[in-house]
Amino acid sequence: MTKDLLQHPFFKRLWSILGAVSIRTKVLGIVVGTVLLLSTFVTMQVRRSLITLLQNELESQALSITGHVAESASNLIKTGNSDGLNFLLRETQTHYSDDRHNTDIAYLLVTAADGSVLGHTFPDGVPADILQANRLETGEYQSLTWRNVGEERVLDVAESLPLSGDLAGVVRVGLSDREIHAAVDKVTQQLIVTSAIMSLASIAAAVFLTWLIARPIQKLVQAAQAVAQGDFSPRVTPWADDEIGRLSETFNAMTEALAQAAREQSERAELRVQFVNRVIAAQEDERRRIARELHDSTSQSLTSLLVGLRALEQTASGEMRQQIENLRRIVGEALEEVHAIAWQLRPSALDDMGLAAALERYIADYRERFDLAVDLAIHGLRDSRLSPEVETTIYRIVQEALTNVVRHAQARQVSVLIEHRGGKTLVIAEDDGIGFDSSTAAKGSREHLGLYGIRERTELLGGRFSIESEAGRGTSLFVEIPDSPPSKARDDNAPTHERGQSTYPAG
Amino acid sequence: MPLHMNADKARILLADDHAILRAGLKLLLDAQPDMEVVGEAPNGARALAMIEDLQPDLVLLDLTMPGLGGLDVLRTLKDVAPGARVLVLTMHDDKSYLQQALALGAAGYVVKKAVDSELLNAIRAVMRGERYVHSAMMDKLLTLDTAEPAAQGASGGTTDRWAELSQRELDVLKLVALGHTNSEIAERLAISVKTVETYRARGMEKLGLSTRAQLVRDALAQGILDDE
Repeated sequence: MTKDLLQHPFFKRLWSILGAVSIRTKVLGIVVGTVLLLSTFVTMQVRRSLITLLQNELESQALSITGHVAESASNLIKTGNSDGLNFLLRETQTHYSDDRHNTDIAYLLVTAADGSVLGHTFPDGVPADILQANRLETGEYQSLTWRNVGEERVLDVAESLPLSGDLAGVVRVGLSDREIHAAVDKVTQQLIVTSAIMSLASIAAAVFLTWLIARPIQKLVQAAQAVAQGDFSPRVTPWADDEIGRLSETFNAMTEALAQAAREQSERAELRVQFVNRVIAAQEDERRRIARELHDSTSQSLTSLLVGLRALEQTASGEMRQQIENLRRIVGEALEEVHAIAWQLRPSALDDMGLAAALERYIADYRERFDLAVDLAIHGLRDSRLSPEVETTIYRIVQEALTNVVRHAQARQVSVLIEHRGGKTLVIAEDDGIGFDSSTAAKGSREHLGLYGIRERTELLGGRFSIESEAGRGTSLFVEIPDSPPSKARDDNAPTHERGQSTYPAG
Repeated sequence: MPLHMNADKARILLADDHAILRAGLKLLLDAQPDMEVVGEAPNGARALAMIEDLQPDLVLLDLTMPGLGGLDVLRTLKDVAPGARVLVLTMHDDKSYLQQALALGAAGYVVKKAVDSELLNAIRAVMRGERYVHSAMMDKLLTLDTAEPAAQGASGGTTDRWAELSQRELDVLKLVALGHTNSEIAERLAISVKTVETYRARGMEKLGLSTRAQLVRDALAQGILDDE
């Protein structure tokens, strides 16, 4: 039930407001609220008890005064000494108002059995309403009643005073509660002052408490923020072995673990980069090696064969000559095939003549092979060479991109733009084909494995890769590669790319 | 008679790192009445030395050799013996190798796959003082050279057309030519990608261009990007 109640939108809204204030405010609010509530409660309780207590005391005092006056007055009444009675009454009033008794006797009054006033303390005569009030019933000995007189309340006690025979007079004493109120107010005042002091003390305590709690939490928050932003260096010094201290220790341990994990991850990433780098480099080197082998060894042998056959042909005649010519044709075709394979593996022009020459040749072949209009524009590379790695990467990227165009794009026109400017090379391959939803591309799906490879190669050299495509609107591939890759990503142990024919092996 | 014939024969130096091929060539060339192999060099450095020693009428030069390659030899010969007649015999059927060899003063260029059918003709042509380029290579050179201007299409005289572009179209096309993606352009100009595409398509149509490569070529030719 409680849970359901707390789920109520009202509580949720209330909590969204109350819960959002700082811990300091929460604690202060709770402490001050509690102190005020307690003080109010205590003050009210004390006032009520005190008033009851003092009123009871006042009543017993009233009775004792009444008894005393009745005792002293009976003789004076009997002797008819009216002055003496008045004196007695005034004396009594004065006597009780001293500091020791501190009793405020509002009036004293003695009446005879017939109600006539025998003596009183009123300076201007007895007010009529007093005579009417608190009358004793017949046979009644005593009567207490509270009367409102002006702003104060007066406890009126009437006691029958046995006179001659069965006649009885009445002694009336009126005690004002002014003193009670004065006393209660004084106590209340003291209580309020005490409460105020207690409030101040508890506020100070609360501030200290919240500082005690909030300060380490604040530090934890700052450290956690730093960690969230990838900085694993901050540690929180636990300064007490309490819950927060343990939280700090746990936080430190967690941060250490995170830092360790991050280190391991970056090591793994680094290893992966190195590995991919090596795989790519090894693949290139292997292709280059095989291409050269075909070029330098197989092709040369076939060429030698051609030359030899040609020499033979000159000395032969008739059918033999015809046979030799056929052989020559076959060898020539084989030579051409071997040459084509070597070129497809890795064009020697890429090493010898540079990216522009190799790409021009590749695209010329591509145009012819697939009967596609390919527009190649190369700027800023005519007189300069890029690093072998960058040249190879760009060549492979263009190759991959154009292979994709043939496979998927159904394009009529392709544009390849290579621009070297400001220390980086921009490669843009665009087609007017069917395009695709580029949001799903380059995520490693089978169809986009080629794109993934392009991205991989680009990132290895610290470049940027992006692709823009939309169904029916063609595809644009953007690759930007810096001239010199960020040094940290390089792998010194990877097989190095050679360049130039001076490094060709003998054979 | 032998002396007279000797004087008539073209004295040829073979520079190729493949011994078997050299042997075959020597066999073939020596069998010709008008040719005589006077020396064989397995690399560029040796070739240069032998050229100086033997003063051959013609050098049959391979481009790919260990150490000093064929192009290096040509480069040196240009200074040392500008009159030397060099016929390049190589595996490379690339326009770029051909261009470079010719630029460095080679008198002829024969691809090895045509060695049986064209070599003898080539040697004779060069000996006659002509230049000789293997016919298939010549085709390649011509097709490549015509392919690019053809692709350039409307690039001549687009100055007026650039002037017809609206400011927005010009802004967009400049950024396209500078190699920005459509979304980058959209962000830069604070317009939507769709709008970029529209401006781009309209601008390209006005210029009569169809690809980015053409646009860049044209923009560079017209100096549109000079202030960027």
